[in-house]
Amino acid sequence: MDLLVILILLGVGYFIGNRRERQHYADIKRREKQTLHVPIMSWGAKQDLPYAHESQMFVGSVVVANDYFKTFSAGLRNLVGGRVTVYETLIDRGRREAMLRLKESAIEWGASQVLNVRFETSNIAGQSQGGMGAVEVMAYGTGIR
Amino acid sequence: MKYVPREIVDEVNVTPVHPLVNFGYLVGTVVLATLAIYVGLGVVGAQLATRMGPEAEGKIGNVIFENVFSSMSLTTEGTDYEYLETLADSLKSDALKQRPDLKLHILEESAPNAMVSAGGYIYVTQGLLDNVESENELAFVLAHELGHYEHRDNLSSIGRSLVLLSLNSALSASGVRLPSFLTGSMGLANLHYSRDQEQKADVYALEIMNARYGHVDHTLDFFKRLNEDELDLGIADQLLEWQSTHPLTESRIEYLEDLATSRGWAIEGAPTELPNRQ
Repeated sequence: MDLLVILILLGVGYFIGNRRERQHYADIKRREKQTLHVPIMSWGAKQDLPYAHESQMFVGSVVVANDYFKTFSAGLRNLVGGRVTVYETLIDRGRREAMLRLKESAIEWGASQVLNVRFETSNIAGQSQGGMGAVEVMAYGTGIR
Repeated sequence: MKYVPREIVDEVNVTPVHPLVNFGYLVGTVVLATLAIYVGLGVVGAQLATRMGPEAEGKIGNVIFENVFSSMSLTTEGTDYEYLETLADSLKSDALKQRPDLKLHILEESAPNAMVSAGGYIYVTQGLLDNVESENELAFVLAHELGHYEHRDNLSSIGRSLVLLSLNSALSASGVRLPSFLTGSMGLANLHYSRDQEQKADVYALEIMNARYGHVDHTLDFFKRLNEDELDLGIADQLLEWQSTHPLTESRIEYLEDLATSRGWAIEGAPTELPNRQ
């Protein structure tokens, strides 16, 4: 009985989670193409910043939850060690989505460039033993026009 | 330098492994490792059970007693107890004298039962004492348990736990302790024996009966009575309990009777009375 519940959870986690992940990646790729014309630049502390009329801070933030299949795989991975490949896609999606949200809001404002973008991540939920995990990825940078 | 926007094509941050392949590999590894440990423990446990010295056996017996039985209501005094102890000691074979001494306990339970645990701990329920009608019957049950003890069935039945327990008692000298879930009461009370082990214990008991009383009459009466009473619903639940741990079926009774005939043991004789009880 317990095994059946676990199998159902794994099935739901795998099929729904995988489907959403594919959809998300398709969406990310489409939007990355659309926002490609605005460069993301990094400047050192002693470099002159490019000339700008206006500048504004932009923040893109996203929270992605993992599914039961990922949690289970990662739990097994904990026993043997090595790359947690199931979480790599999760974090990758988070980073790219956060960056896209930042860029999209900057483009709406009319930015020509976004400078000195930084990433922050934090754990949400999943602190208790066996709880489901979610990760927040936040990107912030200065848009200029 | 002119900025030329370029699309992200290679997902370097994502390992190109299908999640199901990855999952299959993980499950396979973990299952294989578990299986290897389980089989390994089983093999080592079986070896330990046949080679363990009396001192180590005594220690393990004490641990099991502390973990499983010490919380039950036990009696270790009174006329019944003294009589039982003398009887059990008189049933020991030569081989058993090399093993840890018998530590008899009377369990305050109404269901008739008897069991032997590692280290010479023997438990007899009050229900058994109330139900036997002659000394021969009681002696056979005790001797049967001693048969398990001599053949080390009580050690091999806890098999895998035995390895962890031995490891724990070996390590405790150096101050290292295994996590308690490994050495807890899990499986320690498991006294399930195979058909073959039961039969060997029966033969041992019957040999002792013949040596002690000169005949094997009345020794199996207790079991015959239990089998006959099977239809009586009043004690059906007790019977089930007895038979689940100790099925002395018709076939086993027949086997023993055939054995007695073939070895030329007297199958007729007067029962030895139980001493007067309070």
